[in-house]
Amino acid sequence: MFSRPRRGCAPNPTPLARPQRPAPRGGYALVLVGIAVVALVSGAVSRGAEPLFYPDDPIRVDDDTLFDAAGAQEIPASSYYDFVENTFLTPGENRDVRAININTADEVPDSSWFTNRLGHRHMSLEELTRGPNRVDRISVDGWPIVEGKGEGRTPGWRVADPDGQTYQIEFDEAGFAERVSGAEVIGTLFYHAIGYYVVENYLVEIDPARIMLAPGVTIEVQERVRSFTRVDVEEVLNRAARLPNGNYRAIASRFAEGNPLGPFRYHGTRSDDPNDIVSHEHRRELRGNRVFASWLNHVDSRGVNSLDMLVGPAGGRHVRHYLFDFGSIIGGGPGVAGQPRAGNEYILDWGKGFKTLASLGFYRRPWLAAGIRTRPSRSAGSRRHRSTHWSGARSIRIRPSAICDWTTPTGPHASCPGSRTTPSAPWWPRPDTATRGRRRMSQTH
Amino acid sequence: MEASFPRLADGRVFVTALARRQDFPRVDYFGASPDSRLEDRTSYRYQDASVSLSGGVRPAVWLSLGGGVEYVAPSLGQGQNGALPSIEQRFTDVQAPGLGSPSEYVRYQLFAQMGTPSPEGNPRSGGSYYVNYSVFDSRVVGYRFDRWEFDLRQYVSFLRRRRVLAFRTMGSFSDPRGDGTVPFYLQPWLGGSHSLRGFRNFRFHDRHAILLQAEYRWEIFPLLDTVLFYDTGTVAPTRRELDFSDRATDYGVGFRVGTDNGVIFRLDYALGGRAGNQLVLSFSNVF
Repeated sequence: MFSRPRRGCAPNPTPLARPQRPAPRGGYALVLVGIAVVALVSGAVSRGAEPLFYPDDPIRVDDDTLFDAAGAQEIPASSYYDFVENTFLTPGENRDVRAININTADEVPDSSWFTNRLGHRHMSLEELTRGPNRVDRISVDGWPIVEGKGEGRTPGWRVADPDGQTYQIEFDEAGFAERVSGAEVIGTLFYHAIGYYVVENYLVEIDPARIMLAPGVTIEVQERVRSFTRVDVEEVLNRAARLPNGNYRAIASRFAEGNPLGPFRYHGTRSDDPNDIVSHEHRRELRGNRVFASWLNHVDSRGVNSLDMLVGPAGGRHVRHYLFDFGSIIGGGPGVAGQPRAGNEYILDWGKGFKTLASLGFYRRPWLAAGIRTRPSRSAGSRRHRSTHWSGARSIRIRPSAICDWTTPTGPHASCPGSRTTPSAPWWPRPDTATRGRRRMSQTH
Repeated sequence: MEASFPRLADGRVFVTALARRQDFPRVDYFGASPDSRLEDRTSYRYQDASVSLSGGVRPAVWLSLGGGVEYVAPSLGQGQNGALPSIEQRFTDVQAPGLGSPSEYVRYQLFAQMGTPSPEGNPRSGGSYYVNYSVFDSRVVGYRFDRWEFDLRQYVSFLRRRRVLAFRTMGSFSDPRGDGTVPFYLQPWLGGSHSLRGFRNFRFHDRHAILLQAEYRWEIFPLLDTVLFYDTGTVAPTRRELDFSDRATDYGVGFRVGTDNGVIFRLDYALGGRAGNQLVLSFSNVF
């Protein structure tokens, strides 16, 4: 934790004053020398009281777990509120200031938000492709369904392993095999490599004959709880893409440890978390997420797709901040998420909307003809040049061809385009996105 | 009260049972015929109690075949619109058949629904084609009649489905048995937010009615469409008299707020109606 507020900021860039040589002779010269000496001494004293650098600079770890956050309460997610707030309003402090949680090297220390990985140290291909997963693979055969999945467009349910650990099962939509599940795995690996906290995601194959229901399973749909029955299972499977062997491919997402506290916001702080002292809009890693989301076309990078978890032992409880739901990256996503507008234009673009209205629809928005997408959700971080540079520096460390190299071994896309060569499909991240983003985003810090 | 089983037998069978009471205290009536006058506007109260059972099969995703039976006990009363005369003050039982003695009836129907509009709630492509044949069997011999109805809709989209041309034609043809007639409260009608938008609700009644509608919809934002529309239709006492030279016509501009699941809010401004321009607010799509 930043115990000294100054240390949260990068040093003042004003150069140190050089001592002036005194005039060789004369009373006037002596006076000047005297003033200079006094000035130098006073300056030295001043700097000595607050040195620009400390022995432990640059700070590598921001220990934001010092205070017990056991009093933190769950804040329910609201997609509608998130939509309205980030579509019609400009929440948070929009003052043009530099990110606050950076060290003297202009980097983000490790914290409950971020762990420096790619760009900070070497990561082997094995480490990259394993991501946050603690085991190579899992099998959910025989794990009973313990809850229906009532929210989101992706069909699925929740199962429990023999130890009671819950996993969320999500299928690809019928007609779009591998789209969501592949994107989910790839996004998880990217965001983990970059340094964010993400949940474990495993590709699994489910034999419909081995699906079983625990007693008393329920599903909550629009705040109404009802029984989740075999008919519901069939409904889900009817909406899911089936493999040629009759099984279903799915993503099994391991519930993160701890108690859920709801999503975090990309602005402000949690009032019930004493460790949360930096406004989120001034956090470098959250600002920088804008570039990562642009680069990966993560159009669903909304606040509700984040999660705060209360973790740690009694007396040392603290909040860990996760990002999840990457199923819409690189052109994936269920339903409308895969449409070309997403990633090219925000939902409300008043200028283009007026042109379309006034021209009776004959004005053709650029995305109607193009498929290149680089724009994230409005809530995914803010535009600040230094944060953009910070993100871009990490993005360009990933070779485009590495995307397939990383992901093919785990099998997110069985037909990975141009495997071990530069991907050619239009929805793959464009290698120049980060660079272009840095040029275009003119705001500072 | 409704019990609905829309996906029995792996989605191939559907059954719905319904019991309900309805009360519409202010229903407009202008008289039958395409030449009915606005000055003859009256009001009446319509109430009924009904039970029905319908069902059918879906041999294919794009095809539903079904039938049903419905028992209805209607009653009529004085209109509750204080600004208008009640119907009996201006029309007789001859001019408005059934006014003096509304009769219980049983309706038997067969129907076919074809097409796969996409998305179903707010179509942008595909079509929907509905045909219905009904027999209205009343205790009063003179009120027995057969009815054919169709509602054909076609959607043509372009520019990545952000522009839509939507067309609809709807017809209803009622043929009394023998020398009978069709009670005025069971006659098809045109006018209002879902048919002729430049005219009041229930503006035109008669035994036969036909309606043509066209819309050009273009998306402004993902949740907002703008629309140019054109409606035309007519009613007539006999099929031969269905003459489009007597048609009522309107046109206008509108806005739609909605998603793929349906229109949440609709605002249409219709011009060209004989009674002046109409502003239509609705919480459902036109078609």
